[in-house]
Amino acid sequence: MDISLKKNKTDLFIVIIATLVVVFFVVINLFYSNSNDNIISVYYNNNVIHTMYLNIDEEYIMEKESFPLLLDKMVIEVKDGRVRIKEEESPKHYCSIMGYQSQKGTSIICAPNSVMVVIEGYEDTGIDWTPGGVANDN
Amino acid sequence: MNKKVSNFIIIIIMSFVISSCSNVSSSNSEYQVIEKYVPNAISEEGVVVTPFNTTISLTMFNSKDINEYFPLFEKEILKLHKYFDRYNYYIDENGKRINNLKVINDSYGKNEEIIVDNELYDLLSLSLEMTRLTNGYFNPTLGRLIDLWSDKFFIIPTENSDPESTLIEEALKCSVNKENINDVIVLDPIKKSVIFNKIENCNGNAIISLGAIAKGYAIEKAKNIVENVPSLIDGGRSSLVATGINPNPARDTWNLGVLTPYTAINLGVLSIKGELTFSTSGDYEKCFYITNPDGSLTIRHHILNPNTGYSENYYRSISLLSNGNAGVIDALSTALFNINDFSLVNEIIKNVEDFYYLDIEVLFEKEIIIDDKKRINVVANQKFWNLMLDDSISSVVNKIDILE
Repeated sequence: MDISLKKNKTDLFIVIIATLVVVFFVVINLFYSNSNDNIISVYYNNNVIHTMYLNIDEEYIMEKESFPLLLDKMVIEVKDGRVRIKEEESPKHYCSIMGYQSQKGTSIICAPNSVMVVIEGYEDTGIDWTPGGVANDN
Repeated sequence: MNKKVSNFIIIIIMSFVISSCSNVSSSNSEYQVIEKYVPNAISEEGVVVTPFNTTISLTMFNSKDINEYFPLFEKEILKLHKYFDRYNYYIDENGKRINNLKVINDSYGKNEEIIVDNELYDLLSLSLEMTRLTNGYFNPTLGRLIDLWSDKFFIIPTENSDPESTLIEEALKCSVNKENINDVIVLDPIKKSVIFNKIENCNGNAIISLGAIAKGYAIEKAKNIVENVPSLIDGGRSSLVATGINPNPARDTWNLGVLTPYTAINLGVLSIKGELTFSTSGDYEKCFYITNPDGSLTIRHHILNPNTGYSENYYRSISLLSNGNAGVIDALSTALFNINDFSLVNEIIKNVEDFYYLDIEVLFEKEIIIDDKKRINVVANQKFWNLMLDDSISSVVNKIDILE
């Protein structure tokens, strides 16, 4: 009888340890796989000046007074898991024309304003490079 | 505890440990895709200027490499931009104005000898050579003509009108053909100097523009900085130099999308192992449309024919693949856009291949309408087509003709 009780306690101990080990590795796994998810970096003059998150709706307003390289006020909007340049001043408005973006690794570049919005991370689509930017003249 | 149960628990634990460790390892492994863009330059007047009027970036695959090479890459690109910019003056580190393309254009018709840095001399020399090799379809003296059109072009097609034909004729008189170009842009290889002579019959100033070649030349020079370290050097999403072997754990080839004129539709995917140079030109990047008297639309775009002063509509897109020399490939893609005769296309490609010891493959996209639907007829070298992944070919492709 004593032997059986002791055996049951040992079993319980092993099961608890096993559960804890599994939980530990599951947590570690989740932490590493999601550490870079959803982050949007806003660069101004090649420095990160603000971080946004794809899963948190936000409007970030950059005023010319604080960021002198801007041509005018700029508004960056995160909404429903996507980001866009909502307002900007530039000769041809290329970066606001890009509209909402949500894919990891995508950059929205507002070169005349020295601003770049990058959805951090990398998604292997099987393609390393696709053309389609703004060409130069002859 | 029952031994079977005990073994089962151990197996479960080990499975989690192994799967977790492998994920941690891949997350922490060296492979990362890191793209950094060259920042803007500041002109002599304090104006913020985008290098090459586009985005230039370096992608590397671990933080150590990008931290080591990007500062050198950035410095090189900004230096070359300042030499080749025709719109702005720049000051060097000693406070002296750089003799760049704008300074050369200012000297037009004054018989002034301008001493320039090696890279600007090289690029001018390359431009004259490419003018000769392409029968003048690439032409660096179209600045006046380009300035007539450029404000009308937009990233998405909008309706607009052509410049006045008399202005186009005047601008064409201020460009020079391949027979006379060496008499107008006179280079001295010893002194590394340039004289920009007056063009007969040109009223006002002629302008040298290197926009169709400078960006390619710059990323080619930047290739020397990254040596054989795996990297993608992107010039405005129209030119690319890839170096080394792709370190992607999933494949060792560089996979490049070949674009169609239609948003988000790739014609297919090129898959190449090792170093490569790629350039693409399309009529949909900077364009507008005009409405013809019969109600049809014609696309006007940024690749201008030096013979007519207008853009041509033979193709929607051209892609070139080579084993090197992005400057040459850039200029060649511009030249070929204006040629409808494939025997001349072949002759010009051969001229360039022989002169620069290059292997060049091409793919042309022509648009046709079938049952009110837009489709693409492809004309390509066999080798180019063979490098496309079979399962990647888009259903917009109607027909493929192999260029002999």
